[in-house]
Amino acid sequence: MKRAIFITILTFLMGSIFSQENVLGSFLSPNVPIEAIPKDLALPDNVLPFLKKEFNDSIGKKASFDVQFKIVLLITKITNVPSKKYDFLEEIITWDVRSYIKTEQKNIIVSPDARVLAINELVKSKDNKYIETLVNIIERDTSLHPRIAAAKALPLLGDVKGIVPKLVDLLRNQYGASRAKFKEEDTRRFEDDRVAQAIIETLGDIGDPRAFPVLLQTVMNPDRHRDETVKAAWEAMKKLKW
Amino acid sequence: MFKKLFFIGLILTFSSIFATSEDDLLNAYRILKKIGEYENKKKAILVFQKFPDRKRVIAMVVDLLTYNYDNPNFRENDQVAFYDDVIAEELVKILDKERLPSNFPAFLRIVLYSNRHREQTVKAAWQGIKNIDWTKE
Repeated sequence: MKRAIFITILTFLMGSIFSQENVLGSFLSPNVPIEAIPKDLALPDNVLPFLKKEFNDSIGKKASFDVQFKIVLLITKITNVPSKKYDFLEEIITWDVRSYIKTEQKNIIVSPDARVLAINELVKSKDNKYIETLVNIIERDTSLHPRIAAAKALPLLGDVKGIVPKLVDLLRNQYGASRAKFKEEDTRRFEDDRVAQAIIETLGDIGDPRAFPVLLQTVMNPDRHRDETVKAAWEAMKKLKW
Repeated sequence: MFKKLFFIGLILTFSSIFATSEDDLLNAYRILKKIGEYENKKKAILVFQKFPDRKRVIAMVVDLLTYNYDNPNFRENDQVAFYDDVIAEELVKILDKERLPSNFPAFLRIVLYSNRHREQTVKAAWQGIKNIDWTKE
């Protein structure tokens, strides 16, 4: 009898100790390598409401740019076809433009890097309803890189011949072709000229001859642009499909 | 007679190891809500791992990760914060095992605000997101 009680107590103690140790062995693992988002991550559209909530919450908060970039990165992992992600991406891309007040001072709300990533993902939709969105960014955004990304991504949205007059107009009036002499030390003008270069390259890719006059104006007035922009205009002229 | 007694003892032993009562769960939840107390928290995690009503446990874990283990002032060299985050990693692993889509927001917070956690915890949360079975209800 005593022996049975002793064995019972012993079994109880051993069981308790081993069951805890097995689990607690995994607690501290100091040599886990740093890992970013798993490369084979595939998400459904179901995650969009959560991403939207976190995105809205991030607005105006400290270190929000980092969070916003990760959110867009997660959106790029959504694999549904068709997907509602493109409308949300459009919302992200145009966030700053929607709250745009024309002042000299830049007031950036959404991470420019996140917006560039969003633009590059948006064009994968190949839906030309977003052409106007990208043109809007080229025209009204205050950050350099989203404007360049929008200009370069335009031809990927399908048939964009319809927007050639608008691009020509932007190039002529907003981006330097009709402006005064270019000065590198003028930061804003320097940035604008980089956008001008991107627009010119896109006009070359589209190949519409209606772009010829503005390209000609650019090469005939090299003092209004950087050398790279003038070179791009020469290249674009070569690509026009007469 | 001895054999019978031994057998009953054995059953009682195993049931005492594996059975976790409602009180144990609530007590574990209370401990896990506190700051520090690493040793007690390790035992509390065991209660969470063993408790049979998984829905209740998951709800508690999500609540803990959202409100108690999301520390904006986290520093690796702060011993208390560090060991609290070791517990957070274990909580993430509990969620990971369930593979439920409803756990996504809890994982998401951790990966988005990664400076509030150790790398291991963030990595576990990414793994949790990856392992979600989106066909589950």
